Amino acid sequence: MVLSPGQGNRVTPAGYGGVVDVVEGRWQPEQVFALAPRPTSIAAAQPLAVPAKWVAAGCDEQGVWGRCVGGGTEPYEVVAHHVRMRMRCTCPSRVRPCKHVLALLLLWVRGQVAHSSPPRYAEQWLQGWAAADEAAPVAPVAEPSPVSTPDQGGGTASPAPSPPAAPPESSGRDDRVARMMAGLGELDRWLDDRMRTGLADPALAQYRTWDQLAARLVDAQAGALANRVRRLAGLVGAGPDWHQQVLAEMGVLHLLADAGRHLGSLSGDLADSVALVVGWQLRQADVLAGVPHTDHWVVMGRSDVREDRIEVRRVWLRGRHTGRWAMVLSFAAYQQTLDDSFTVGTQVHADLFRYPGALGLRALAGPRHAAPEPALEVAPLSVASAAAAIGQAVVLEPWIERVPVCVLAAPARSEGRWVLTDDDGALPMVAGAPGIAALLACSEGRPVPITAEWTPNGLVPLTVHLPDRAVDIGPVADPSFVGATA
Amino acid sequence: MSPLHDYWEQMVTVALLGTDRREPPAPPAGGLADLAADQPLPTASQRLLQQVAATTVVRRAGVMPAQPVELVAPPDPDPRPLTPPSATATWRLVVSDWPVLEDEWVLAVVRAGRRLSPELVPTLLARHRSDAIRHARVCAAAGPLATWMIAWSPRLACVSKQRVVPELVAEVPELPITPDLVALLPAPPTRVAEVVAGGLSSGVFAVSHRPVLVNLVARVQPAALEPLAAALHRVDPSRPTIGIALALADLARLRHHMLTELEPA
Repeated sequence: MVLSPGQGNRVTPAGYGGVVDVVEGRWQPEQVFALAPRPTSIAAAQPLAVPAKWVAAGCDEQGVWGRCVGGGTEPYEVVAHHVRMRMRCTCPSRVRPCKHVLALLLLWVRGQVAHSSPPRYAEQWLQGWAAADEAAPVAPVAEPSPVSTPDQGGGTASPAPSPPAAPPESSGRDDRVARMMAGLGELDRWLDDRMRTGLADPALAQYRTWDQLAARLVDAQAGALANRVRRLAGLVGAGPDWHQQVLAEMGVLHLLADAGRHLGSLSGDLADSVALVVGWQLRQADVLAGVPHTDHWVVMGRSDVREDRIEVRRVWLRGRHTGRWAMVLSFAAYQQTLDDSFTVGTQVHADLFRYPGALGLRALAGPRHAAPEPALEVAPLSVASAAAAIGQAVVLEPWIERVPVCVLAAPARSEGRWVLTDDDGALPMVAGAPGIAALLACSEGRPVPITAEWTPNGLVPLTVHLPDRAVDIGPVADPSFVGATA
Repeated sequence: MSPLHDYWEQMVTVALLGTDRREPPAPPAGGLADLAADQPLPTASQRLLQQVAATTVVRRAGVMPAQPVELVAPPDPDPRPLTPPSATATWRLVVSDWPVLEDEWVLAVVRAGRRLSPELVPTLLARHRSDAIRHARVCAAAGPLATWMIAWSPRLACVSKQRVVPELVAEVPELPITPDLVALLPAPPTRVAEVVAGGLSSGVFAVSHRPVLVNLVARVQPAALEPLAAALHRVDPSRPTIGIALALADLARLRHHMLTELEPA
């Protein structure tokens, strides 16, 4: 015998001594209790599960509804589709199901809700669910854009629209150069005005001030700089020394605006770096047409950062034989999925194709020659050597925002903040970096190999390399925004 | 403080006020002064911007380690073996897919005489800081490392005023299960499989029974899990309850896996 939900029958399952009460599809109280997101929800619902708290409560074979007289001026409209297990309440609670829904269901299972026809608000909603369930559309998942505006400096790079298949006409290219030069000039004038009027100018506290500049840079096809300006806007007022950080970043923007207008006078690698950071796009096909860098690439660390409406994942690789670092970026918009093909603590025998540039950190992953295998030896540096490596990277690309390092050091406290220290020195970590607690737990305060990202504000720990495994402690994308696995 | 630091601080002050009100400072002797001399600029704002850019790069490129810092004292030793690394992955799966199993997972760690992998300790302490019972359970699984972590990071301490009853810490919490299904908890494994899979096949159990069936699978005796998963996979795919059957099979398999994985070393 097949019993459809909502049918008014009492059945005894075959081979089962108990009796399931499905009279009129009504639930048992435990089914309501099991819906509660937390134990306190039922406790909160019980006082509302009395007829006096409800106006025009009713039920039928599909749903149960009513208006709950709460503390507000208007009663909350509550509907539950008890067959399809859908609930709705107009209360502002973010807990689902809320106490009003649970109270209505409790009232219903106790037989204190009379049969009636649904009012308009309930009828529409119940019918809407039935239609929606039948349609059940599947949203297509778009692939990340194949072309990006790369940032050789390990900073942010944002996805960009796909390029045309053929190179642009030379006149179009000239127009674009002219627009970009004009945009860079405008950026520099804007910075100059800020120096004149001062950082205390209230206009700087308004996001619109920065957004207008970013929009003009986007128009000038300097999208990477526009992103940098938007990030800078987020620093204003963010901490007690925000004006120091903002001033330093304005200095870097001036450097880029000036260098971008004098590309012809820069050396080849430096010109390539500046061009990419300013916003010149390079097709992936052109990068992949370059000479591959084949090595056993150790996946040293990973970090996810939300940039505007895009989640950016950086995977830091280091060549087993060359010792050179490389960075592979991936992007995901809302409800897309970040690339998880590189697992921290493994090594991959593969080709990488580097973008041109003085430092040449950014790369595209090419063919793999073998399956990933564990990689536990990471050859960490001392803190002093790591500082020297950071300095060398900044010399090559002064606008760089992130530099990877692997140090043998211990987390320790100094002057109210966490640092990485060894016998020779200490480097500060970014205050509130998400991986600090896990680093402390994994190291128990002892020196361990740690991969970290240097940023102008301090180190961000990404990986703790333990003797038997690597623990990924880098910042993780919000799973409610994108699909991401660390 | 170094001359470069002083120079930077002076520039910050001027930048706050604006060059319309105050002239930028003269750079200290050396590279920055040479730059200013080599590229003279007509306005104060341009000179300030040039010097801010150059000084920022010099400061960043010249990053120097501070004096070494004394190491923190390690936590008291804990002789219990760690949970295997695969258990960490299982915990992540439990939390994302079947959080109803998390209490039992933590208790299984304690009962197996193991201790939590260290990377999970701050995560679990923070996750359960508003629930005194669960927080106490995590502390038992983490051992001295938990106390040590809380001392260094007070935000990991429990914020609940709930009284911690040892009996509640040592047992998995009861879950709402209908009285007729409660009878299945101690039933023979084949009986459990027969009733649950049979009920889903025959339509006795509908969508509205999903939460109580989940609770049943989360609390049924472990020996029943494998036969139950197998029986649930045999539910007729054309039945409207096939989705619930497969979900419950997944839950049964995961619970069996986590309990097996955490068996005493």
